[in-house]
Amino acid sequence: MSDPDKPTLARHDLWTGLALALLGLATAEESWRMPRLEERGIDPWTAPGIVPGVLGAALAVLGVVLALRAAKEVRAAPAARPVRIFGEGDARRRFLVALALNLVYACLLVGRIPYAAATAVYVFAFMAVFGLEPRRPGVLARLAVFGLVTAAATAGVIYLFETLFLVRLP
Amino acid sequence: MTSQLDHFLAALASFASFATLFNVLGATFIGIVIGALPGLTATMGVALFTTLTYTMEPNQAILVLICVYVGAIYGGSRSAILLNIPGTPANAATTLDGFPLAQQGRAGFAMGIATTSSAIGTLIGIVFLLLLAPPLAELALRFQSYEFFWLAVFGIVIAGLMCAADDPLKGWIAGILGLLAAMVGQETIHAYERFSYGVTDLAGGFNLIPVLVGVFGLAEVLTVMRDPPAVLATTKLDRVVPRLSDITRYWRTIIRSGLIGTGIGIIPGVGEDIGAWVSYAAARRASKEAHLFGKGSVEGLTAAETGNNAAIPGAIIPVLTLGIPGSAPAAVLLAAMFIHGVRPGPLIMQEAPEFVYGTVIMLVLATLAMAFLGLALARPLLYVLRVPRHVMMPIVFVLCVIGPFAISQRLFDVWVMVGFGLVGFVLREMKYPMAPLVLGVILGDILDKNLRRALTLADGDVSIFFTRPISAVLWGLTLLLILGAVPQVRALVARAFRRRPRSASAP
Repeated sequence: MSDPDKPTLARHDLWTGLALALLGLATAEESWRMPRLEERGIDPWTAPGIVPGVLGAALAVLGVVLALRAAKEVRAAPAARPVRIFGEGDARRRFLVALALNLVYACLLVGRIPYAAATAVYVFAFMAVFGLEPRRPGVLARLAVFGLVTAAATAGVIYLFETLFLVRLP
Repeated sequence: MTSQLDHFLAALASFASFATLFNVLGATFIGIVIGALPGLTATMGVALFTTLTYTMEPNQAILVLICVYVGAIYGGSRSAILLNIPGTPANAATTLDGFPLAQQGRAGFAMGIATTSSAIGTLIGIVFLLLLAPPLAELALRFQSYEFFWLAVFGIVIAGLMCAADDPLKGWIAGILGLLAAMVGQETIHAYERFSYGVTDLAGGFNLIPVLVGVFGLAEVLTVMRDPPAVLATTKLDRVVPRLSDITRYWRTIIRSGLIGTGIGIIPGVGEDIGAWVSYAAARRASKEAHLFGKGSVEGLTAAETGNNAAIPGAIIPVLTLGIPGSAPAAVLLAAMFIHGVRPGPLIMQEAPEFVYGTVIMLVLATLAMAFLGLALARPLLYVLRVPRHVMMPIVFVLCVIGPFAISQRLFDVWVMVGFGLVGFVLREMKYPMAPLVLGVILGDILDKNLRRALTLADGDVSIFFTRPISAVLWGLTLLLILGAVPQVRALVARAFRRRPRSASAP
């Protein structure tokens, strides 16, 4: 007997199943429309759309099976609490902040401003946001330590990739 | 025989240098640290080191990667024992008995047993690598497009089944998503651009390293930051080096787990974590002390750590002989071999037999270094586990960003890493295993090329896919696996078996 208070994935599975079925159908449809390259005298069995078409159809079938199974579970326990994928309360806050910092660094800073500056800003901000507890004394000392770690990490990564591996940094 | 010995000696001679010693000790130590830190997995370690070693000479680069691989799978036992958090997924079974032992004040003893078990497990796997790789490569020479197609299908089906044992449907969906991801970009027969929508970067397809660093790196960083911080069970250690009797007492368990681990490792995509779980379950079934399992059983700990490390050489066997990875870290190793100009596959015993023996030597060196460092540096490694996550994780993510960029020098790979990291995080939280997805990305091209080639060879006659002997074994196994996973079919079979004795005894 399953625990009625335990959060379930049934609702997530229902929507994911439907989304996967749509993705599968769209893939199969697009694969069908891919050229058969007959004008180049190419064997029709090597048409580029064959394998993605089969995979799309398979994904659509599995998506429907998942959705049907999940719908049955939802009907059996309509009041069941869904699993919180991103956590709850503090966990959710920590997740969102980490996600935001990582996205800003990887998608907005790297490649737009000099690599050293982007990395230093990101590493220091991450440590300061998660490592400082405002009520605890010694904030300045900890900030100084974070600064030193940031400088060492940034210089280390740049030395390793630019000087040793001869990589042109973004 | 003489030529095999010559190849072995030639491979041995190529590693007789100070650089080898330095690389082995350094890489294994870093591997242990990577494995020990929650959030850094063996896959990610090997992927990041692929980017760090691509300017090295091929033999030394692969040596470094194998040392990181062996070190990381073993290193994960440290956090499993001391933090109750598996450092890598391969050490999840280790937490069951390792952490209770630490709580009982026997953390040092548990670490010692984990070290010796891991070393013996790897050595058992190495023996089988040495014995099985040459005949398997010979068998693989008989593989044609039909067999490679079925092998790819079998790989996805069994990886999906074993990596998501309680819900194979999600394992198969993950595998198909991986295969579909591999369809993006120029296909290899006619160079037609699929699903690229005119975007030049997409025409190149998704490279394996950014995908891996995303699903095992960014996704893990986000998970670590979301979950509450771990607390060390103890900072004091008892005797670390085990007595000989502590090891020999469970010799049956060690041999059984070594065999199971190696066998599981050989199966495409099914890696060290499943090797540990299956070894652990088998040990509990066979044990006279089954009641102690989960409460600090030394036998349970031995089984888990022997099983996961034995899977490493096991997972390398199909890499070398078929060009198909046995596990996620082995997938990166395979990609790294291609980057360094080594072409593993059925022809390896003809083209580069010394590389197979070289791999054996690399694994032995990694095992020796792992045992030495694991026992000698037990106390210093405690400090590594005390590095706060808010210091470690941003540095890890910086490497996740620069690593994929370094290989291709294009920002697109950074975005691929981010995209797959986010999708990977959500899928993992919804219990989709990542190993079949990664295997799908690798097998996509093999499946695509070989199905279309085989259809051309057979002129559209699909019957030949089912009648060739090796193909018949592969599709038969695939069908059995799929049917066995369907609850209705299982219930039908169970009912048929229950009915038979009754009808047999009827007058």
